[in-house]
Amino acid sequence: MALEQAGVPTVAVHTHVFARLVRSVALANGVPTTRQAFVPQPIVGRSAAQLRDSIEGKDPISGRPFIQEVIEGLSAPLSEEDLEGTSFQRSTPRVLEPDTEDRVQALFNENHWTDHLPVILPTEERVARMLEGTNHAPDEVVGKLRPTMFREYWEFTVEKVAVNAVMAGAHPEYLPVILALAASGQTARSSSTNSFATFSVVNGPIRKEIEMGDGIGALGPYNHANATIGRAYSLLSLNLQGGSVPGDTYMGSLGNWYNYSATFAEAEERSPWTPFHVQHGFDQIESTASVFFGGWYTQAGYGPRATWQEKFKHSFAASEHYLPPVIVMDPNLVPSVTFLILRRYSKCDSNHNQTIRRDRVSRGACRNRRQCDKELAMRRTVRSLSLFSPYLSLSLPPRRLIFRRLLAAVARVVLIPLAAFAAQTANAQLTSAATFDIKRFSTAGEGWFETFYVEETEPLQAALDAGKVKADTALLVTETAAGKLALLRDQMAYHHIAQGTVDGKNWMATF
Amino acid sequence: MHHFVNAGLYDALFVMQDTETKTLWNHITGEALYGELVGRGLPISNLLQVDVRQALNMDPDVHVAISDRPVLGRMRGVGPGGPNAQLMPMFIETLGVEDTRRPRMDMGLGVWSEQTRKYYPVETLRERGKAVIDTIDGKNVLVYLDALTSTPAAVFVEATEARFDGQEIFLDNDRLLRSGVLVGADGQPLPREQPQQIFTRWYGFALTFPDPEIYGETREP
Repeated sequence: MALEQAGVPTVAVHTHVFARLVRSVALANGVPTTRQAFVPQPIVGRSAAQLRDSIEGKDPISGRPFIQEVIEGLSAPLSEEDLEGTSFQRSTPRVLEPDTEDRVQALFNENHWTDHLPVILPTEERVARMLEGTNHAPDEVVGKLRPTMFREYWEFTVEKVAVNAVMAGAHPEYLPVILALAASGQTARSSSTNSFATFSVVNGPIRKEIEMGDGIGALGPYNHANATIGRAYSLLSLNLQGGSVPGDTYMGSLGNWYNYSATFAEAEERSPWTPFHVQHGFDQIESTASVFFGGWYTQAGYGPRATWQEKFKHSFAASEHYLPPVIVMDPNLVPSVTFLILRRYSKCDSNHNQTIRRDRVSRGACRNRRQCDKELAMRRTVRSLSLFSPYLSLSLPPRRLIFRRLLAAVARVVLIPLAAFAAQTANAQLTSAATFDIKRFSTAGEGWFETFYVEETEPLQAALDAGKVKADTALLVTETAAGKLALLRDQMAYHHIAQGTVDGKNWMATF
Repeated sequence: MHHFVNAGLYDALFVMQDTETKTLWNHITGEALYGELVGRGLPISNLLQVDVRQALNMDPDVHVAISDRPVLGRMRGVGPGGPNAQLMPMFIETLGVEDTRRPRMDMGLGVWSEQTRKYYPVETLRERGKAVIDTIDGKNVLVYLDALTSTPAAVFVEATEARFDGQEIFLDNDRLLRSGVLVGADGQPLPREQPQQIFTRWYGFALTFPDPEIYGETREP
């Protein structure tokens, strides 16, 4: 698409299993007629002769010779339709037509609005009750999500988050956590053949107030708050980003069980480490939620004492060494492996988390909830239900979308930061430099790079003699109160910021 | 001391944030962009790109700080390096109105002062023998491509002509630039003064310093 925009006739070649996806992406980017040709999947592991057969054979989608598709795609003139681009509307009603419970459950399933487990139907009363868990207005914009980077963002409100929280079975006092997750900008239903999942960790007093699990079975289906907050995050991601439909807006080859629900609390009181949110600059009395993105797996057990160290190392060897792994450990096990973890990995979980808006969550509200639930239980006998639609309701004016490049994702097993819902509202009152447009600021790259706080230096000549650097190692040299200081350019490409103090004077270098 | 972290993207450049006030900062100019410290700026100076040999030539006592981090693949957010580099959509979405006089991903040396903002394309420097004499704020400046690191740099000189022989840059005032060090006729290192500068892509410089002069290009009336 970028090449076409630059005036270069282009045919994109894909394997046939991606046909639906790439056409959908082309439509979403305003160029539904972009030229595409397809070869049979797979191409990995095929011999040269087999690959040649694919090229000389037929396009499995069009049924026409592949080469002919390519030549015509490159040489045939563009039609008026090609040059026109496209516009479209997408809208769903805010409230659905009343119907029976069974039929509405079926409707939700058919529209891919659920995780295919039964949901609590979001009646007007239930949504109103859920909204009591926050003092944010129902029509306040929470954030935006998209399933993958080449899709457009969808923006959504507090009410839509509440609808999905009801469906997940969450209680109103969980809503601040769910809103924070919704505001993170990171979907829990990302689309990638890698079948990524997102999990979230809650820190601070709210863990206790809403009775989250941080002990036995914390990562399993054994705690109401854990289960429903994680499920709400998954459902709202599904419904508020434009869908997560296999073959269209979801392309995970295997799928991932962690997509159902993956939220838990850190066992702060029993951990040998500083609580995660405190590591990132928050007070222990603040409540935070942190979001982690990747293709994670569970290693259950490490065997006898004599062999566990080796198995543990092998587990880490399976992760990319240059990207920070996330380690979740049984508190009972941690003390015995602390020496290894602390030395090598304690800072690897670099990420940013933000304070959750505490809102109106209290024990009192919890008692009210039980009363309310009782009333709602009685209403379940009603045959005809008036429900909110969980799917994002948008009515966009027709527009001609512009071309955007489609690039392969490069980040894997990286930690995606949580943008604070509370911070979003606070920022609106802040001062801005005359030339700075906050609307163009994106937290997309937040947390990718970790600042290098310099505490020790050594003579460069000594480092060279010791083989720590080579004669042609690229450096960035800055001036500090103690004289010239060199930083390794390739390390600064990771950190981007280095800072320290020399003789009471602060310095900082950016790259 | 304020502690700075990478907070996000603006104009496809990373933006710093101090963790104490949450103010956002421009990492090139040191200007506070958004937050309670708007109006303030961080004093800035050049960060020299050299290799270990050059650094030791400049100052045998130079120290180095080596972090415990592994080296990460560079330029997350861009595709292939060099002329085929591309920005990912999440970067593009943060761009302002671009100056299209040069390709977005063109590489060059940006030089700026109170009066001047000027961009020296690497391509132009290469075409002109890798060393040119220009004028910044009324002072002569040598802009060159370093023989060892291939990065462009600028240094104030009193010369009016420069010649690169593949190793050293000879100036017409009996001085030369050897391994990044300005030396006199006696071979002794001389102090060097440099304009504020940054090795950058065109989009980053032109969005940070709008409407810069481009070396080697004349403006259309």
